[in-house]
Amino acid sequence: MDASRYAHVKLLAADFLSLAVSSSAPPTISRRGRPIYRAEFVGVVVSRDRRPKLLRFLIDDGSGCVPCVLWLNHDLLSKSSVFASGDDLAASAARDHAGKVNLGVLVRVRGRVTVFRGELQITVKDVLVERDPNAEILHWLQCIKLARDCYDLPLAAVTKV
Amino acid sequence: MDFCQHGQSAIKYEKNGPPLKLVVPLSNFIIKCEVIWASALKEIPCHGGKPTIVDNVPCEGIPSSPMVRRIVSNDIFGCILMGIIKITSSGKLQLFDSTGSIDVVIPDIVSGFHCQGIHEVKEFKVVLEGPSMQVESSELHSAELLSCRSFFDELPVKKKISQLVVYVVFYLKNSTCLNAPINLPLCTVDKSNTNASGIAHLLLVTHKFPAAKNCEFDSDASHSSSLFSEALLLPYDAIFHNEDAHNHPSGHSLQKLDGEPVYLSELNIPQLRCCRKPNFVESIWDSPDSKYDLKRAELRPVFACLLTFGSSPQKPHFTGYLCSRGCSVLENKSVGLHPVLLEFISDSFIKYQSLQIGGYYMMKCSKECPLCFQKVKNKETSSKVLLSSKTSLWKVFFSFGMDQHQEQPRYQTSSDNLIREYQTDLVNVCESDLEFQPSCTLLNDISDVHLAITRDSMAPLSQIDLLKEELLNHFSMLQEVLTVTSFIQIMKSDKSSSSSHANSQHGSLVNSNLISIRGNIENMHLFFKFGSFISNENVVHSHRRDECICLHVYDDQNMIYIQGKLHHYTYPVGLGPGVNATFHRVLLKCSSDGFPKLVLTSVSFVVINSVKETGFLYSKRLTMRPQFDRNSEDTLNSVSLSLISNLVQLMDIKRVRLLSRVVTIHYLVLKKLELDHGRSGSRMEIKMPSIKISLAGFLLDDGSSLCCCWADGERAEMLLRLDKISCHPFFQFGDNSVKKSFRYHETIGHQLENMLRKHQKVIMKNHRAVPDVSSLDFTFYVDSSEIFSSAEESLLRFVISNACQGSTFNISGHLMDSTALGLLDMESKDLQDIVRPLPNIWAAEIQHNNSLKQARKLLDELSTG
Repeated sequence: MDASRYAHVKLLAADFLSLAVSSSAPPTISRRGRPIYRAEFVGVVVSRDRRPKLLRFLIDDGSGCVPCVLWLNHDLLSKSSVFASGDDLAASAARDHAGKVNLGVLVRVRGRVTVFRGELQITVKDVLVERDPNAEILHWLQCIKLARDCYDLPLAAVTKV
Repeated sequence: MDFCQHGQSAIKYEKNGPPLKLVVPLSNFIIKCEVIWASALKEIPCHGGKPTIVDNVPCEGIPSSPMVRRIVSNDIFGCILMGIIKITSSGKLQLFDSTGSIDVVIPDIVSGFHCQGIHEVKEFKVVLEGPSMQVESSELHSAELLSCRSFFDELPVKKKISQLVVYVVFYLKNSTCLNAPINLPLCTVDKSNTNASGIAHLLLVTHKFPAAKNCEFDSDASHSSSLFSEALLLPYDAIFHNEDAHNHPSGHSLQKLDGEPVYLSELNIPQLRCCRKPNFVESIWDSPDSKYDLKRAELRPVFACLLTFGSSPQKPHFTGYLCSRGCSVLENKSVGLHPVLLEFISDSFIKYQSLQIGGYYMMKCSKECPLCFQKVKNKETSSKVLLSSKTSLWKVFFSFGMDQHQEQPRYQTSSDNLIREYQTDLVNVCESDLEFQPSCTLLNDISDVHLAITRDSMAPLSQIDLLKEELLNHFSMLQEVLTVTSFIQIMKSDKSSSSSHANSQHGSLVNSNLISIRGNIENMHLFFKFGSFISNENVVHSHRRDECICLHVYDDQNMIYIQGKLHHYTYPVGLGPGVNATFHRVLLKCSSDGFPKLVLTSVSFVVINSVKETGFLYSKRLTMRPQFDRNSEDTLNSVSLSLISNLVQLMDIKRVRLLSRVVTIHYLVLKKLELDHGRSGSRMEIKMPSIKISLAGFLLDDGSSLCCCWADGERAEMLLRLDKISCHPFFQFGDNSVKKSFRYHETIGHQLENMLRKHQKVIMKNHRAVPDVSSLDFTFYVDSSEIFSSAEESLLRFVISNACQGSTFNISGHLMDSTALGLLDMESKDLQDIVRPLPNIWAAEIQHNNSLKQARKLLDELSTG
């Protein structure tokens, strides 16, 4: 298992918006040749668009805005499946996360990096409200450190387990 | 008083004679305090020019610089303070001079304090409080501030550090009033208020209401609103004769009515302005078979007594009777006690300030006395009494059983000291603490009057004992002051008997709603609460932002939060971390999570018992919860931060530290906690369920890669976030029912306890390699013949899902090699196949991440390359 594939890469919005998207299907998203699957951002919610099946929102971390989508369509999945209980849980969690996304709130967002109509976005896995404003500064610094000590290193140097 | 001649400094005098101290303007004194404060802050270990101590706010508060408090003796200043003592409309005492004012705390102030003159304070302690932010020394005055030259160079001198709070603590006995009468050097009683002749009513103060917040900044109390206190009017009146000081009680002032053992008091003479004309019988003890209709007797002389002002024999003292009203002492319990609201108008705020909850007070009856009218009406309803500066209100110190002909009362008898017995239990402070409330040894000095109940033929010793017992019983009517531990024990006992808690103590606590609790404040911080409000147009608006205060109050073992809105009322001088305080009438409120919250309301009154220095390394203490353990945090942060992607290269390093979040849980073993392990008794967190986590394997993500972190016990509980969710409700039918009200047995903590009571041991394994929470690969095993229900499965899934949505942890642990991994109790080969390729660590210490501290460290690291 390539553990780094499942890690949520800490990125600034400007960095995220400049990720390279391949034209293959499915598209591969990479940063300096390193594939990026999951990412984590910290920023202020500046836009919120709630629809029946999803919640679209933008988070601004000072370097740019990251488009995020939180799916709320778990209820539409088959209730008859043996996994209904897990879907209930996921649906409930998604509604909880959606409730946290309010304008002006500082949030930490984790999710998969996806492409929709050619634009990069985050398909949100979870949302955490950050009460401490210093969390944003720490995130900036962590982005810089991780880029320097991990992401910018040649792929061969990154430990694979 | 000695004066220093102009041009000659105090230093010159020191060489030739006794050191002289300067009387300094208060504005210069405050600036000097700022200079001392700035130098005190330099004692705090700094990191890059900023204090390394950062307030850890474990609840939802706004992180801020920790508060530092220094207590400085007057010897450091080498000066004398002089000014007029005034009281503001918010009930705060202040010392004024023409250059400024400063808050003062006077522990030995009494109700009869009446000072119109200039006070000289030679011995005092200065308390400096403020955030631990360094002050630029260039902003402060560098010249000698407390010299004659500086006093005239710049006037008035303005305070530079706005966040610094300065107040002075001194005792009246260590100060003098320069223009007070010789016999009243401490201004402890007004000359006109030392005449006790007449009737006096006995009161027990049960509560003080805080001043409204909007009065806080009104330094002039002359046109402000009133302050209020609550008291019980006791069924005793004292009658004192207008006699010379050393005469003993006699019947000269009483006129015996013909043919009946009834006396008519002469107390209704116009000079005494008494509205009453009481009749009373001489003795009911000696004539139980008397034909006299006792109902005709308004008062019954039960005890002869001697009242003195102060302990000096030169002070005036009066003889008289302490009479029971309406019924005998034996019959009297709570019957005959009337609640009274005392309203203090502006010129009597000093009486309010000195009033002590739980203290006995004597109020002299005056013309149109409302208390007498209430007695006449004989109504149980409460009444309001207006107190002005002319009202004689004296704090009473009782002593019992002295001989009738004894010249002086036995003030120092420990066994007969009523108040001492109560106060000893109430306040327990360390020697190093600066006391705000009078200590037990000073009780004699801080009472206005001493009331000695004497022994004579009318009242034998046995009856005096009954009186004493009766007075002691009144304390049981006061709100019991709980300790933090006793409060938690009551709540816990209710948890254990939640299904049948109708008669539990918790039930009674909740029913009473308002409780009193005392403890040490470890942390105080602000937070904002959003709520709705109704505007003038009767429109409901949402998102009104209330500034609230959160106090973390602890005792030796436990901690609780007390919260309140900041704008509600004026908080007392000194409230902050490092303070021992008693919170009277705190609202015990059932919150939405089913657990009670303690809320300061507009009627809650906070009494500061003592303060101590804070914010220095030597003031550290052992704390009760792992996330609050600062000692542990320091140890943890001493390990350098690592990235998971680099762990493989660090296998030879014994200990690593990670900033990471939980992604999923691979393995979880829950066991029923046996109570005889003693854990429930030592549990520090009321919300934690009684379960034991034998082993848990978490998948962590720090942005660079993933690793497996193994933990047990409290560390596993923390990573599972059980402390956050155990008191939350869980409904297996989804969140449609979340808005319903729920009870404790519906909380996650209780349901986990029930599950383990049923199965003894539950094992969860996640066989999925991909670190996403999914129901697909969870397998549950139980150690019982019972069926593991779908509800129990949903519950565990919810707990796991919740753990994966938490914030960043600061985790320190030991790297595990394959040998160490083999020692873990993992029975599944599939699971081992998943975790073996990952770096594995054993969690040694876990803290919630302190963003500010970590950001500073990281910035240093990045800037140094």
